Amino acid sequence: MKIRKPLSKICLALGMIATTTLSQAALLGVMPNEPIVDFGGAGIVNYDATTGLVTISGTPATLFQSNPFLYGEVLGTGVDDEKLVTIKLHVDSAGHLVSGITGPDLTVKGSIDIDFDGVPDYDGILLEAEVIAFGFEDGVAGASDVFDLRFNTVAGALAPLYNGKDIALNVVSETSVEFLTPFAGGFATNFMGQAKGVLGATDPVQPPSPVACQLDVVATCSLEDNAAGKSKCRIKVSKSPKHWEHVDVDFHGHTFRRSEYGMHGHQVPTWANRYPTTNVTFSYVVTNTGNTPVSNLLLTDSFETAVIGVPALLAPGASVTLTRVEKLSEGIDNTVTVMGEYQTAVCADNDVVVIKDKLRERREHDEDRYKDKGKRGE
Amino acid sequence: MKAINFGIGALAVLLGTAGSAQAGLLGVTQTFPDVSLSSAYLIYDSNGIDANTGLLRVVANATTLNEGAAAGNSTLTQSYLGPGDTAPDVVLDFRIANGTGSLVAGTFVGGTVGIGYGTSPASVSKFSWQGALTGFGFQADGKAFDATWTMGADQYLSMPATLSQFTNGSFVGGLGGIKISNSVAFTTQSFANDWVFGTSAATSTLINGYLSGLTTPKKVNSTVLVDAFVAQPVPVAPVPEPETILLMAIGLAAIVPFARRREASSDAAT
Repeated sequence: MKIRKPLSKICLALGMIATTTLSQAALLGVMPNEPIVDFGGAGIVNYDATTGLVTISGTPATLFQSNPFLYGEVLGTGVDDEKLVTIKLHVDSAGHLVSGITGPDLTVKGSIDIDFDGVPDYDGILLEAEVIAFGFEDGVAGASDVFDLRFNTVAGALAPLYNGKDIALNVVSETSVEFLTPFAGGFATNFMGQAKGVLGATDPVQPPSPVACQLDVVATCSLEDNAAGKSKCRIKVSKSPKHWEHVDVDFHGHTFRRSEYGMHGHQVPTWANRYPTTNVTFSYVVTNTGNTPVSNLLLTDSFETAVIGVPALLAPGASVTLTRVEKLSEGIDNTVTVMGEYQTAVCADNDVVVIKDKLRERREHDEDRYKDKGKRGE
Repeated sequence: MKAINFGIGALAVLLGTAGSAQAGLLGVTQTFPDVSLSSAYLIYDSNGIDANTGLLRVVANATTLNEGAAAGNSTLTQSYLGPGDTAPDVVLDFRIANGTGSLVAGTFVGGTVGIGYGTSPASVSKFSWQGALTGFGFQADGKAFDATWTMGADQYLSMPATLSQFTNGSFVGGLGGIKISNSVAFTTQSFANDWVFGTSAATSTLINGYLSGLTTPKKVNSTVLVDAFVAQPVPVAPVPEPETILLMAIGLAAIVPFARRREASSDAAT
């Protein structure tokens, strides 16, 4: 098509005083930073509502970076003398990005001579990338439409210049006498408009922090009131009818197995009364060490009965201290587990407090396991 | 975006109103041929002309002549950078009353379009568009500006065969438009203080040569896209010269008595 056009079509429309606002604010707000590649006013943005395919195409003009200085015009490739920018992506009828296309969603093709020696320093596919975000803004009353996009997985001859970066693309579509069905703010119908734009580097999107919660539990024991808690206490061991069994625990779909110490439904035999027991006070300090509240708290230890006083919610930084008293006549390892939730995240912690026999000399009939009784001063 | 199309009649009327724009776009509609600016910066000196008149300069690394948007249309890019030259060139300048943003009327109305030849050798294709601005509009948020202008001179050197229709003077007298988009809005900026917008505007030293007259300019990184375009000049009907009018009057005076006699003789015959 040449420039001779009917006079009625090439009038320049003037005088319509526009309002100063734009109607829709759905842009990503990404900004192309150097190095940049631009394409001029002969570009086109086209949308096919049947397939949801947005196509932006144009002719790349220059590559530019101010520091260190880098500049070159984009010329046709040595193979087919073609220079071209194409972007293709699929959106839904509301303009939300659905997907890219098979193959690169962004392609920049051409050749560039950056040292002005007449020999291309880059030639062929200059850039390829995959679209990950799409935004748009409908201009009103003479203002231009604007589209912006973000790409990652950058490849091509210029990719080393974008090492570790995403690519941002800003596209402006002006009111033009050449296009009678430009973007009107929606994606339910086809549109085609003029386009020019700039692409360049932008910092990659930080992946959203994984939703997390964090709990800490410290378990201690003591044999006397107001005594400082210890991680290990010693009692006079005699004989006990209690025993260990495995119990499955369900925590909101997460199942774990723990060992439980007790009678497990059996009657306490009369002989047990002949053996002395020691009151051991267990103390469990549960702390929310994360920066999110923790709900649905569950605390288990190695005993049959539930720990009393477990709160439903623990705020960030908050602690709660829970205690229980057990009459023991043999050594055990009391494993304490705390679990909680924040949104979809589950967090847990555990600690072990050990009850052992008092220190004494090894006797002749001690079983092998008494070898670990230790020595005084331990 | 809503397509805006006005007839020539409306255009003629509306052109007469241009030149006194307050905040608000003119609503210029893009057409071809079109010249796009690469890596453009907006550099505004609030007292660049005098105490009441600011100077908005648009500088660019390159300009690209776009024949049209249809398949097969050609483009031609010319650079203002090259070996030993890392400073962009001034392509547009607007004189703006620093109190209102309107164009300054006077001996120099509005400013100029000065798309110069590129820095490449004469054997390389290049083009030049020169003209005078006639109208100026802007969004109050600073994200869009537009303008009207008239082509004063257009010249072409060593044009490729695909752009052979561009010959010297093809568009002289043609009415044109300019569209500028700026991705970042004004915050504290206005036409009463100094500012710079463009890619890496805050750090680039390549534009320092244009900043010497500015007073603590606010430098803002943004994407600035600019193009200037023009339509074929409207053919003007030939205006009779005074001598011609006089001859026509004499001839008419001679014909009228003759026509009356013919009318009288015709009545007598009946």
